[in-house]
Amino acid sequence: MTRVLLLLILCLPLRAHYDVNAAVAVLTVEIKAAPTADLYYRRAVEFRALREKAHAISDLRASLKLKPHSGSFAALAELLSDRGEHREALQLGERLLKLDPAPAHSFLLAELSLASGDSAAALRHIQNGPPAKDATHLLHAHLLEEKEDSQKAAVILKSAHNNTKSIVLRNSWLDAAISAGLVNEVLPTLNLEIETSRFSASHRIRRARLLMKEDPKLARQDLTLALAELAPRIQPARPDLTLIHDRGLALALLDRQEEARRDLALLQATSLSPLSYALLIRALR
Amino acid sequence: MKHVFLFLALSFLAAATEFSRDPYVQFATHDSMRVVWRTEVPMNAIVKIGLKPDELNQELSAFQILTRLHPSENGEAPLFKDASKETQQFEATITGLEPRTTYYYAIFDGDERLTEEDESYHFVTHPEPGSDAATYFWVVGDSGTGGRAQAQVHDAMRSYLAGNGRKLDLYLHVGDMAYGSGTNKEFSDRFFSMYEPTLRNTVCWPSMGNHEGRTSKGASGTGPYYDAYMCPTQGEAGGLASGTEAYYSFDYGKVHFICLDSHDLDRRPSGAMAQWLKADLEKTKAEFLVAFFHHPPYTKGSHDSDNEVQLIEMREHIMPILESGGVDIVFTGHSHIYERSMLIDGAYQTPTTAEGVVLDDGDGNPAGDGAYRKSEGLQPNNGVVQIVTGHGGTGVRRKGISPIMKRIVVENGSCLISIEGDTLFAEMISLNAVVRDTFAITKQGTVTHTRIDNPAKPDLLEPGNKKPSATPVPKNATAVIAKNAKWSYLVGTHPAGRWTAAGFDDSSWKIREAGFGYGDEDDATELDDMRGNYSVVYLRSSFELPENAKLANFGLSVSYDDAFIAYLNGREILRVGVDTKQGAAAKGFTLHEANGKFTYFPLREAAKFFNLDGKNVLSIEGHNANLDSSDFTLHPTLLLAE
Repeated sequence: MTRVLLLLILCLPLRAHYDVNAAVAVLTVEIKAAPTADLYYRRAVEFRALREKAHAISDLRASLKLKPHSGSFAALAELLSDRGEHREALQLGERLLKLDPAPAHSFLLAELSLASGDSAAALRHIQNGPPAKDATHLLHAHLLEEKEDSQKAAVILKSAHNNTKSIVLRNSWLDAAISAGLVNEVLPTLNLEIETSRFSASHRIRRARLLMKEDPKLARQDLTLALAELAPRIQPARPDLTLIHDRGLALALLDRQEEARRDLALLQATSLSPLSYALLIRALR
Repeated sequence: MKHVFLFLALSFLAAATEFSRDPYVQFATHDSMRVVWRTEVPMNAIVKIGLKPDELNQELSAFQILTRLHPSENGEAPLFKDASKETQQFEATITGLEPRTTYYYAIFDGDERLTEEDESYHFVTHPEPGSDAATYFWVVGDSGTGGRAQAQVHDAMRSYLAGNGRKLDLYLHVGDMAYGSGTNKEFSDRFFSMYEPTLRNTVCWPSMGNHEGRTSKGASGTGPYYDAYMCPTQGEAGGLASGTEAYYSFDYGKVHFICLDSHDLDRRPSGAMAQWLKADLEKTKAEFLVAFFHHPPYTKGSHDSDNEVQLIEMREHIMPILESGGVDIVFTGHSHIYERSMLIDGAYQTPTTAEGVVLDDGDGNPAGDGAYRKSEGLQPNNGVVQIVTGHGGTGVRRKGISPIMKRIVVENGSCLISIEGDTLFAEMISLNAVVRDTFAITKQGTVTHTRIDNPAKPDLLEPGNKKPSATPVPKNATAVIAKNAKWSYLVGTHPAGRWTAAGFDDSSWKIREAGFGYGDEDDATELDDMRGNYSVVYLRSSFELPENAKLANFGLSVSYDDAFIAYLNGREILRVGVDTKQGAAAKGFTLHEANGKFTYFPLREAAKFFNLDGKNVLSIEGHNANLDSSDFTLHPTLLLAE
């Protein structure tokens, strides 16, 4: 009876609002009374929303002890990977794939492998799982570029872009095609984008990458213009990291290594995936 | 004969096709529109349109109408599995239309007209992208209860429009439109039925809330939310192709709208959504930029943006991209409150601080401090106004005060926004059709802002739910500290030490008659220097209890504007309109007007703090919610009843 009353009281804020702290309180009472895998999983989700990762991990372990469930496997693997506990994260990813060989789980295992530093395994998992989504194509292409197979990456991205028209796929295709040296395929698109965009820095940097050898004067001019455009857009105290990447890349291509490395260090200090600044790393090599 | 009647009756019943989800319009562009509806029986769907209500002379052929069915029926693009097996969703795509033109429509089942002959079944196509057309739109969040407040908010908007003679061009919903889990039934009952008169002629552009996220998934683009809405994936309505309905953009004249999925997709700058956002912002040449999504980067309403991961990530990861792209205004929900910021830039820290991020701390009201000023066009980091409009129908609540806010209203309502020429004009309309907030952004020439180190505090409106209850003064009460009694008072500085204790030395304080204040002509002691200089007034009064005083029935009767904390012999006994802390550190003020009235607060529980045999001291700190407030009043009395 007391528990029912307590639950009713705790649930009051939940009826009117979805309150994360209140949800944790309600679930805690329910878990105390009759713990189930689902209750632990739901509380872990709330803890994750509150960034209380240790509690979330503990609840997911408890959930899995009671009943193996794909949601708990995936969430626990991701949290452990974030904490750098790659070995256990990978084991969980593999168990999950065995339990439910869905494409999403191959993708997760690829991401976990990449986070652990094993690009080859990541590529294997991506190639094994049916590439159904834009995210899969993007990861697959990035992994191929890591292996310096930009030609194949460009083919995958172009085909994926033809399917959904996503501009992210299109821009990634441009990057891969530039790496593969496909000048004639890419140049008309870049010229058009530079002509028609409000901010053209990212496309100018792409054109500079493409023409570095063929037309170094135009390339340097593009890079200088890109840096001039980026300067007022970058908030000095708390910058847009996507622009920091662009600036770092432009600086690296202009051989202003020290400044470029400072931008790279800024990016490396965040929780961003290294894939997102892989171009900058390659330009600095 | 009986059989003939039965046959006729059954024939009639069989013929009466009814909508299970009334017609609504979707996916407007300058040359196309979609009309969508549902039935629970198959029908011979025909849509007729025309430029006059009585001349519907264009008929849509069957191949222009997509019929979607339950997954068990093996149809094209099946509905989510929780729809009933009989459900049929019809989506008519009308193309080849003229820009900014009104078309009337009707839906038929064969020869039978299902929509009434009513001019409100119409739609208006968007203007040509980039053209100079004005726009007027409605923004709602966290509304989907199907309850009275939701209906009132909708009615208030419609009556306000009827009053000002304007029509909506579009409607933005910032999520949580179908509580509790965004099922097909909840969508029909709590969204489509509630807003039907508006939805039949005004496109709702949605962003997904966490409640819809229980059944619909951004990564796969499936679920009742994705069944209900048709959103651009390939840049069909302006903007760049996202390849998904989870996030998208569209243009209305010179205004670019961006919708993001803050719920269940990667919010990091390296994620596909952020990469698309960056590309979309690079491309647009609009003059105003409006972004909307569910989880607010700044709130202290029913949620706290300093604690919850989606809110933190939208602030830390997405806002830098939007602001470097020149965003003007951001609409969000999730937190059940109305919170509207000052003009800010670069407020990405956790916890949120107002220091160095406020570009204009005025109220933005053209009739008040003046409209916020920005450079013309879309300029990076030139200031944004954030609006949490999660007060569309569910219970409202406030946990605290976000320091970057200018106006906070704890009341149900919605927002109406006009963009015309170089000015964006915004109003918050309460569920009683009262305007609770007004501000504008004007974009002319080049404007360079100086960041304000110590910006003004927010105005807070909490009608109804936070007002102290009106307890009547006991009939036989006598005053221990009477009206206009003399008090020791301190202003312009804060007292050192335990100033509320009975033994505190207040001999250096001035002594004057209550009440204390300015600006409303009800004060015996006028504090002429208070406005703009200090916001706290400290009072102390010593008294001895009468012999045989019965303390079970004692209380304070106070005329006050805005808030105060009372102490008896050093113990806090009453706090009105102050959320946390005391003195200079006090936070979270509720606005209150004295209006010459006294409010009685019974304090039976505090009787234990009286000193029965000697000197007692009642100390009170009065707070003005804003340093620049037009008035202040503090006039306390202490009453004892038999």
